[in-house]
Amino acid sequence: MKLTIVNGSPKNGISNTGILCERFAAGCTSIEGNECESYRLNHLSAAEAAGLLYKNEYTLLAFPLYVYFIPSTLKEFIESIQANADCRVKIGFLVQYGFPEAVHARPLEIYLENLAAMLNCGYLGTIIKGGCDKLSQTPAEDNEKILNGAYEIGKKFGETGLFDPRLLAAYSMPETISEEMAKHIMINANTHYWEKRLRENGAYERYRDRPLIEASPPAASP
Amino acid sequence: MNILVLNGDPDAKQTGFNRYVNELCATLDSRGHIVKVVELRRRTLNQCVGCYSCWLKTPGRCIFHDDVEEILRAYLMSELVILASPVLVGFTSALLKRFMERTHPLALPFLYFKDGRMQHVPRYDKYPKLALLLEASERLDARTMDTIDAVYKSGKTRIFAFEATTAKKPSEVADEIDNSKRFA
Ligand SMILES: Cc1cc2nc3c(=O)[nH]c(=O)nc-3n(C[C@H](O)[C@H](O)[C@H](O)COP(=O)(O)O)c2cc1C
Repeated sequence: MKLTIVNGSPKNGISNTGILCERFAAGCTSIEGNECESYRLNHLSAAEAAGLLYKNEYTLLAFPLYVYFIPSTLKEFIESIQANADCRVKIGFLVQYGFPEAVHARPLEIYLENLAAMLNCGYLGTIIKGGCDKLSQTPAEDNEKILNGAYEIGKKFGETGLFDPRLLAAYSMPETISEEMAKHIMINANTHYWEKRLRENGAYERYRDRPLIEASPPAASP
Repeated sequence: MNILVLNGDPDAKQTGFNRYVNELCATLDSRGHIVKVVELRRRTLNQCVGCYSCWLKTPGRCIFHDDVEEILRAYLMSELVILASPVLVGFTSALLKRFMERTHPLALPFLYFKDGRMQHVPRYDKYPKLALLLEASERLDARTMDTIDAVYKSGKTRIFAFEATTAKKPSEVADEIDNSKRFA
């Protein structure tokens, strides 16, 4: 099989989406005879990207969740294209993001199924993975579970041409989290990730700045 | 009430929708509201590139010094922000979405738990309520409406006032706005 992967992250340089796409592609091409071509949307013209969308039998459109939806650059691209009337392409989606719960991407998932139909493509499914903010900032050993999960979904896809719904469901977990679990995650993320990065930048003392309003009292600590 | 209307129609030739938005603003104005309209397509809005400078390097400030800073100041001074858009490929316009992404500096990176979900701690004390005004058309069927609704209501820090379509008369939408004020 031949698969086109388009990474729709608006970021320059290394992207979390790209890291997951690589693992998915590695899984897919571990099956003999499979080929993957990878592209970044922000390196393509709209015409080039439209051509790629319909180029191979399968397309994976991958991106970060941006305000509970696809990034506006990707939406702009979709608004600019004419759906291919006679199309045999099957399209799948991969969305990864910062919050740990799958629930944040469920409304988008419904949109993506509609979108596949609007593009006249078959719908493979949507790979949903939260808790991915730090993928590109931390060593691969720290993210083994997330990376292996993408590999396994890619491998199964490479074998069957399908997204295995059971793998997708397990990968997207947790759907929601308890308050207790949230506390644990928040201490970790707030102190060991966000605060650490602010300190590294020498910006921790200013993290509550409110430059868009005139004089105002400082915000309460989180 | 201070109302900011963000017109996210990318197409100046779509005169019907733009006329509607203008008529709604005139109605709100005549009822004593202070209305500011921003036609996003006439402004310079760079695309957010996810650099996180607004959280981690220059807290609260974007790397892009374009028209968004002025719009965000007006946003924070408003009690209600009306997000107006035609429905394009099953959702509000990419142009409006581009603005929504640029509200990133209005939050802090830190997480908190609200309504059973992870959210980001607000940077400011007060935010406007949001309302959606969508262009009524055959493209806006019930499923599309539900999807748009669910996406916009996902953020638990944003308070959603109501949504309306241009199937209603501007005066009826203005009534809803007056009612939403009562439920503040
Ligand atoms: C403008 C903007 C909006 C975002 N919106 C969300 C969101 O709604 N939910 C979430 O969990 N993460 C959100 N994120 C975080 C990204 O999804 C996350 O950092 C992702 O891993 C970035 O992927 P990339 O490196 O491939 O661009 C947002 C980030 C930015 C810059």
